[in-house]
Amino acid sequence: MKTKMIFKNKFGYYLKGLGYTYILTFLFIFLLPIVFALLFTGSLDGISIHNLLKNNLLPFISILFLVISSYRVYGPFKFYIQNGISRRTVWKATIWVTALLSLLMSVINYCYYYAVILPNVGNVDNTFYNQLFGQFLGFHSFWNIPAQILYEWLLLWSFAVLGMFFGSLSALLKKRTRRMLWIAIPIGLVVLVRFLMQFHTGMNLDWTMNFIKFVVGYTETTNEGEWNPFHPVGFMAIMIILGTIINYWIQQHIVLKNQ
Amino acid sequence: MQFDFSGQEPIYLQVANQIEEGIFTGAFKEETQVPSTTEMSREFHINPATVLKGMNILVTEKLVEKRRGLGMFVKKGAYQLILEKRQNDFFEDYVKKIVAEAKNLKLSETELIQLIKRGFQTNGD
Amino acid sequence: MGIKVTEVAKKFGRKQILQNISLEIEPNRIYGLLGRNGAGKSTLLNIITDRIFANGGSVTIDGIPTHEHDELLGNIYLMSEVNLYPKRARLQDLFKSSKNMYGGFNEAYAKHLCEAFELNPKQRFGQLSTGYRTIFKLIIALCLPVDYVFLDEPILGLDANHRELFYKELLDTYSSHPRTFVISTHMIEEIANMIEHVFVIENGKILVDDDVDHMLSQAYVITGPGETVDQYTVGLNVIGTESLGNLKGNYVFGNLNDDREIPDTIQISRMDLQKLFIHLTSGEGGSK
Repeated sequence: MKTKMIFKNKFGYYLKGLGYTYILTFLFIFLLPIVFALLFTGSLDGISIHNLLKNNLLPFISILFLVISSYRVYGPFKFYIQNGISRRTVWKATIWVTALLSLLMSVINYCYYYAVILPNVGNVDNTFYNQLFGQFLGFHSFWNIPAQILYEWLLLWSFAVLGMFFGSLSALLKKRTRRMLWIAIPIGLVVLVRFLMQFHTGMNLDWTMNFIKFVVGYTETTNEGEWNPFHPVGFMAIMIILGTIINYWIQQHIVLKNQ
Repeated sequence: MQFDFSGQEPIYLQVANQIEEGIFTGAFKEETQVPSTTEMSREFHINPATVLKGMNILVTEKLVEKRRGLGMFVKKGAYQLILEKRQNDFFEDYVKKIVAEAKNLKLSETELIQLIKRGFQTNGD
Repeated sequence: MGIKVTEVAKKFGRKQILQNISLEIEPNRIYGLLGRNGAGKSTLLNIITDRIFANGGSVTIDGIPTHEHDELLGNIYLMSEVNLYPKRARLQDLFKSSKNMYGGFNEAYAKHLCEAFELNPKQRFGQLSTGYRTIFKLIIALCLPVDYVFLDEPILGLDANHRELFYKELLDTYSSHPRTFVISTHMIEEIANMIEHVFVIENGKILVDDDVDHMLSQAYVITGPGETVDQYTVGLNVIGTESLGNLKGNYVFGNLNDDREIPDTIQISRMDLQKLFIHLTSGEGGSK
């Protein structure tokens, strides 16, 4: 019962955020170039609606939105625990919210691409999905529509789970520890990359390559777009389930900080 | 009503005493309602259970009665009961003390009686 | 029946905040939870409401553990000193979401309280002063349909008029709709007569768990000439002492020895809850 309540509460909140994000994106796509053109050249000569409409930022914006909004774990925890809602219930409701929201965004992005962008770029269907997997189900197959939506849905959902993973972790940490990690992690990464670059020749990285190839559905072929989309779809589904279970485990440990 | 919150006397006893005093002085007439538990609780920041405990003393002493759905009412004859009780207590509560103090002040029995007579005379007008 | 805290212990780092606390909170009574700063009151309340976890022991309501239990947690409201509401949210929206999550909210009463306290529900939580944040949280606490209301420092930042109003409203709503209130505060004097039962926490342990009437009936002040007073109170539980010249006052908690003759020169009187609390927790005297 309470799960439904929290779902509604959260979904409404996310939906509002989504609306603002899309509005901001469109302002960014359309208004910014116009303003810059006016500022620097003083005329609108270089601007054409046609060119502006070619921009396909939506998938990136969607990912950004989902990562950032899913990262917010501690704030909502405080609010819900004040209202007598358990961690488990919030977690359950969040699964439904992120699932539905990423599906919604996937559908919106799909429609936007085919209704607005494609006619403007001259009917060369070069979405990321089509370039890699477009031929697998047959070029004009109807099944490409649900497959492409499914693919982006799971992709977006994975990023939401990832964002929540980091959000849940940081909810366990004190502010000071968190700040230290913000500095320590990038440094650590740089060191790791340097290390790998120096010593990778001595290591056998074939299995990693093979694993990555398998995950993205790579097929030995000269033709474009014949990779198997169900490999990444399956991989993402497994990652989402695993990540969600891990997030549950982490969130069970969240407590109110700084008495 | 006025309560002493310094702890000298438990609040529930004070509640009982205050209402009894009200009945005795005629502030709460017989067959009329006394303030409700909620009212007294609210007004003086006293736990309703404490007020009720005080009220129950009065119920046991047959000074007030509960009327279903209406509240607490002063019983008929309550004044007479209080009067009799206080008359009975007069010796213990006052006379003994007066005598003890008189002895401290080295007043004789005759002198004390004289003083009491004087008290009645001056009070008589 | 009620909330049962059994052997609850809590450590922060190496510091033992609570040591095997056990107590019971019954339905429909008003409790006082008293203790000096840092005694562990808020920690205990946070554990009861599952906001933080104990290192040992259990908290149950009617026998069922509260941990991660929506129904039980939804039957408790803890108004705490820390603010857990989002700053940007409007008060009226917070009323609404409280209603949704707790499954009820006395809106008419909330409206009455907002008017009485002069709180504009269109404001955002972050715009409120400390006093008005307290008022806002109190309004929610009084309007929710929960059986257990915990008030941690409920008069923080309130002026005398608002405190008076709060006490009146609390007793009013308690009389018309009995439920459990647990009040944790420093202003003992003001709530002393509202509470039926008191828990005193000192250094993470329960020092007193008693009805106020019973507790006060065991508290005495013995005043008189220093030597006589000391002689009379030998062997009694003296929790504090005050002297002025040769005049001395010994604070005793516990039964007096009835066999002892009371010297003419000493006077035995009572003390109020605040005095008793101060002497119990000042650390100078013994405790029982």
